[in-house]
Amino acid sequence: MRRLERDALIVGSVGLVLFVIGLLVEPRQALISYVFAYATVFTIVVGALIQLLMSHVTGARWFTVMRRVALGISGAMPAVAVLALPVFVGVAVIYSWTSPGTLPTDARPIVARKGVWLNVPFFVVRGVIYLAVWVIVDAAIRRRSLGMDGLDGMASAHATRRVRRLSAFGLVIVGLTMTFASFDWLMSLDPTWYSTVYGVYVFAGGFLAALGLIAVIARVASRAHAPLDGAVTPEHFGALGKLQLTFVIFWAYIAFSQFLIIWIGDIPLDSSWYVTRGAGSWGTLALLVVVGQFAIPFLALLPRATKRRPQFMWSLGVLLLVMHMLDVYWLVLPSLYPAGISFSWLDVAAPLMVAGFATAFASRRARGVRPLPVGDPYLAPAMTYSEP
Amino acid sequence: MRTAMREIRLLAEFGNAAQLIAAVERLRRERYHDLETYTPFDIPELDANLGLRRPRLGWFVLAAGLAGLVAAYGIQWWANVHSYPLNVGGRPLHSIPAFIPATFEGTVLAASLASFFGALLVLRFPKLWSIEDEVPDFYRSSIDRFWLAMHTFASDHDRAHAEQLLKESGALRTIARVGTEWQSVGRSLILIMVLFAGMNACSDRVGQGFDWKRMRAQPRYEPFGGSRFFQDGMAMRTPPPGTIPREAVSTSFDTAAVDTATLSRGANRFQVFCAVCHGVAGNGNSVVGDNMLPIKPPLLTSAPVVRLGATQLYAVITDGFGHMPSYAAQLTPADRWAVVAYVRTLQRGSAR
Repeated sequence: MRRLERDALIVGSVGLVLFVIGLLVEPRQALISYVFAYATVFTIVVGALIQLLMSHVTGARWFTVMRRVALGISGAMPAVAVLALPVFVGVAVIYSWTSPGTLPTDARPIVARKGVWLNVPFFVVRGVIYLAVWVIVDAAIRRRSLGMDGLDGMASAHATRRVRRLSAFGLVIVGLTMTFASFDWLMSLDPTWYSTVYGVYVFAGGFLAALGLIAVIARVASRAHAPLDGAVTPEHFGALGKLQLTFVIFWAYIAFSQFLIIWIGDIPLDSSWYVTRGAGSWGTLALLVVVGQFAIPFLALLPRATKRRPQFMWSLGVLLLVMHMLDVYWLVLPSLYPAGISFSWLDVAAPLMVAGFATAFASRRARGVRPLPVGDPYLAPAMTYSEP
Repeated sequence: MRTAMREIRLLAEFGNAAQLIAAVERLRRERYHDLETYTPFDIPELDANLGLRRPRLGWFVLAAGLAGLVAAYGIQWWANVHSYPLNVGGRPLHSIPAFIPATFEGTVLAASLASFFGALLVLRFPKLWSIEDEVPDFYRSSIDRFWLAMHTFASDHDRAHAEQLLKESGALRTIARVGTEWQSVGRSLILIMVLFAGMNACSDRVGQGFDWKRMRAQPRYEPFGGSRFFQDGMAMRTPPPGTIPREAVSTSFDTAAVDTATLSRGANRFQVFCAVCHGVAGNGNSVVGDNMLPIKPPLLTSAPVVRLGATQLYAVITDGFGHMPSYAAQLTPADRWAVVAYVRTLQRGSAR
């Protein structure tokens, strides 16, 4: 844990230095790359928080042994809040709606109509609200969850019910803020275009990546003599695999619904977004994401045997993380380079910085936390869980 | 040799789960493999000992899903491109994205139908009748007895040996019946066909002229409702003076002075009705109790329950409390008092 914290801090610092250099050399590229990096990370961290809330609400037993893994990931939330700073500071450079004069003439009236929502002060206020909601929900769940460690009997049963009620409320507000955050930070990169299902699309990708990251960490933490050795078994990986399969399909379903509605309507204002992202090298990238985030995981997760192999789930988790990154890249970067992929060294530097600092913060916060929720009444049945 | 050709089912009844588990282990060691068990609750040890294989339903479902995919796509292609080409907003006739939703639905439909009917087939359903149904007291396998069935014996000697093993393992009795599993399924299918034939025999015309409405809305008096029949205008009658409810005859009971017969009756009723949730020892250690997480049924031996008076315990059994429903329908007043007395002995036993 300490080594991870130190290494992540070094990686983050290197990223920070490179990012600052980039900011001086080519600010617009640096900031858009930063939005890409930030969106990749915040969706995963919020996705882990949502999985945490969902496991409390549904009373899923099998997940109890992995719950502290999800709690560990969502522990990065305060860092995520602080790392949003460059987006707020650089809003005038990143988002074209801040300077309508530079937009094409036919786009100006559309953006002007959105002025009530898309203006800098409101944008910043909204952003602060989203981040505050996530930080507070994470802190509340964390406090209650850790507080349960010393309880047993009826006290822990009642605490479980309280966490469940809190999580139900948390799910609603985190879900809504996540949707609006993706509208604000990602969809408004193309201010004339909109899609109502966009927030769900971003959530689906982030949630899937969070499940991938949970599998990766659970695999590493359940090797011999690791903290979760003996607690997380093939049975739990099997259950996690089923959840991943569900959300692989869910992501594909949402992605396709959005595409089909726009494709079949064929209105220039709507379809231009897909025209840019479907042509040339962006089209190739889109195909790669469809194969890597849907076709391969879907087929790989179908058999019972594959899901129950921890090493396999680790590999698949890495694939899902990489694909989520490419997915967000495909969402963000075409607004800067509509003609085709133009790779910049800042597309590496910015993720190093954001992921490095977020990981370092999360692992520091996980210090001294028990790897299993020992006071949870569901832990005993979770340890002996076997797939039906 | 005739008996070897025809299938003989050998059934054995056991008084408890441990004997059944031991019998299954022993039979498996002696290379009897075609075993089936009937128990009132899930016994995880049996799953491992019976050597159950996972059914290969998955492949069947996958094949059906792919067939549904091809069929759904094929129908759309044939209809839109070949049979009835129609220009919709200038879209190409063969437009893949527009075909995908129905293809997806077709795949899911075929796969889920295949898994439903495939599961029925694997489980040999529908089984409205089976040989076991003709064995007296077999129904107790869903209450308090544990049954084991085995079939296909190589010889009469082989069957006699199995019977011997069952007896040695503590079987209360063994019963042999002639008949096959598929015979049950066959008879069920015939029954269902007869049922359908019977339903077909009723035409709509037979029902015509029958006043269904009168059957649905019959004149009746509601409790606490009004009535023009009685002089006081009330539907409910006041019982004659001095009437007491039937159960009121036994609202008190001296739990300190119970005889052995009452206690063993209480133990029996407790194990049948209470132990499923509260556990055989009253400590909440039960499968149902585990599934009531996070709030399990209270320990009957814990201080708050010990402090309850006998009449309070009786009232909880009669009216229910919290998640516990009323057991008035299952337990007569005398039985309820017997259970209360037995709970007291459990409490005293654990206090020691």
